[in-house]
Amino acid sequence: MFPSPVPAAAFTVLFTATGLYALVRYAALTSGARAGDRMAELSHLLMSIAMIAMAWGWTGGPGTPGGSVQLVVFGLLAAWYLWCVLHAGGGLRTAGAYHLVVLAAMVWMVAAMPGLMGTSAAAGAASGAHAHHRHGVVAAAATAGVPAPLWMRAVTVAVAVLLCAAAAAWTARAARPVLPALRTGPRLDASCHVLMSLGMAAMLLAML
Amino acid sequence: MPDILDPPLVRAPRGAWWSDLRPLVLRLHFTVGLFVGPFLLVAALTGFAYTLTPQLEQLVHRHELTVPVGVERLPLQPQVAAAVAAVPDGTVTEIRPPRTADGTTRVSFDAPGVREGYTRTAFVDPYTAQVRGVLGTYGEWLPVRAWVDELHRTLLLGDVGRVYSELAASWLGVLVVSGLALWIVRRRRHHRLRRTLLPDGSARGRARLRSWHGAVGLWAAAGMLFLSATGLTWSQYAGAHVTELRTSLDWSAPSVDRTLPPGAADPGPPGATAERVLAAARTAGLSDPVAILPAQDRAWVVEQVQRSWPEKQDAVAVDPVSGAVLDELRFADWPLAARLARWGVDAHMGLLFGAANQVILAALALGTACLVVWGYRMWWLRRPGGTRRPSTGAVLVVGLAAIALGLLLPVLGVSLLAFLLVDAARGHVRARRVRTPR
Repeated sequence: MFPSPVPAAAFTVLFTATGLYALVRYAALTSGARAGDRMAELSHLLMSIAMIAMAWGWTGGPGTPGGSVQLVVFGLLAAWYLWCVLHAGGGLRTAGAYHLVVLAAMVWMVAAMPGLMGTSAAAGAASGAHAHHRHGVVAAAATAGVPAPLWMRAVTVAVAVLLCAAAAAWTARAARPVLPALRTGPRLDASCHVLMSLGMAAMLLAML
Repeated sequence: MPDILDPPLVRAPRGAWWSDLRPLVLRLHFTVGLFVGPFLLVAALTGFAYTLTPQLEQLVHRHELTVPVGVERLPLQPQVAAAVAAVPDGTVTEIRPPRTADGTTRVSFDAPGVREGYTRTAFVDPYTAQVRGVLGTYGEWLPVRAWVDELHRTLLLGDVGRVYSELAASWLGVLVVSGLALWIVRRRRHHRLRRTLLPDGSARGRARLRSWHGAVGLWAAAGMLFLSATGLTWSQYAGAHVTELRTSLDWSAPSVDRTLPPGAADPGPPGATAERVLAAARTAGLSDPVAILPAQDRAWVVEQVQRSWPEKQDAVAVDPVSGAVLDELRFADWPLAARLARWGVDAHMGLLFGAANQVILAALALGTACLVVWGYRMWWLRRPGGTRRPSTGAVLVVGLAAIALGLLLPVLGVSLLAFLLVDAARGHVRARRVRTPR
């Protein structure tokens, strides 16, 4: 996705950290060591893995197997959190809304990738039976750069702004945790949400 | 009914790492077996059918494959000409001289209306040049074998069906390893070695089933792991990863260089060219059985096609006009990994060691089918309850392994993900019901 491996490496470090955190929390929830939302931790883990794969160009747009799987999985998760938002109350509704926005952003990222990066829908993936992809090389750059439509760029910027706003809210929570430590490990949890939000916003802007 | 992943919260003694891990391994083995069992059963039964196809093919297609032995074989030219006349709209892609005195010459064609991956093959009497039949073939497989092959690989559903066999192959390794761990590291008060290696004749009911399941699983483990690993090499998604890995490590099967010298002329009719090219290959030391691969504007290739032990896979590239050998490749010079892959695939297909190979595969297939049936029977009698939850560390270790495996084997990863999502959703809904009773 990037002409240089440095940004990809930076994203990898960031999302490896968030992914490991999510995995540890998922493991703790499964073992019963703490209570919480396994779906949220699974979402965090999947998102972290998907972002690392995207940074290195291992998955492509909607026309590729990897892209199709991401669209389905993140779309289903987004629908799940929409349901949660409609049926939950108070803080759970807020958390659900945040997850809904992030998951919708993931869907947008995959769906809009070909348009934003000026490639065909099936470009950029190494997961097909006959494709071969070199790490760190921008597959999109190999084809003629067709500028993305203005509305697509506007939506991408708007989503990035939303994610930055969410990161700001999480930063405030990290500074002044409001929920009991037993339930969320508040500072660390909020910090991870900050990283995930900012990381996604940065990836979206990098696609422009 | 208690959730198999949410038993009561009871902890194992500190420091007993297997006691921590065992509940998770047991649930993994049970859950994977429950959901993947049908796919494994189908793969085992169709695989068993496949072990019978060499003999079945000889029987069903005897007319095309065998001829009365004559006095002297005709040159390739009239044989190929007869084949071309039988398939006038085709392009010759391969010519295989007979392997035995009573065998036929095969001339394969790309032709309009032929399915992708298939060819139309004319079978020619080498003594009279009479065409014995024209059949649709899948590589060297005739229709009956090709049909069973496709049934085993895809359930006759094309690329979509390949997902079933990849699912079975992907999870089979997990089942074997988890099953081995559960069976071998099991507390036995008496006759430990005998009760590990053999079914327990004194046991009754579910314990007896478990002893058969464990003992047969132990003996079949190596074979099942072999089938899983080799099967994955030609699967759709994991196979692509294997190909990439092999390419990056230079472990792929090499091929001869077919570049012609500049100014190449038209070689002429395929039959005469085939004779010239075959003669050059014989001079270079290529013995039967061989296949001749024509080409346009490239060198023709003659390659050995013996897939039984000891494999013969030497190949030469020959100038079709001059008959000069342009490049040679000996099987002994293949990278070791490429030769191992070749042997592995041929052993998986029952070709490498002849009838003995077929018998072993058939036994493995039946053993796998029995393991699945016994597993379901045990579940029917009593599902594994357990009283312990796995520790966070155990889930973490298995989780990391699952991520690595899921990325390497995409079908395993996606199916595992689907299960975890459904499981998390069920847990959330159940917790919600507890919080808001009616």
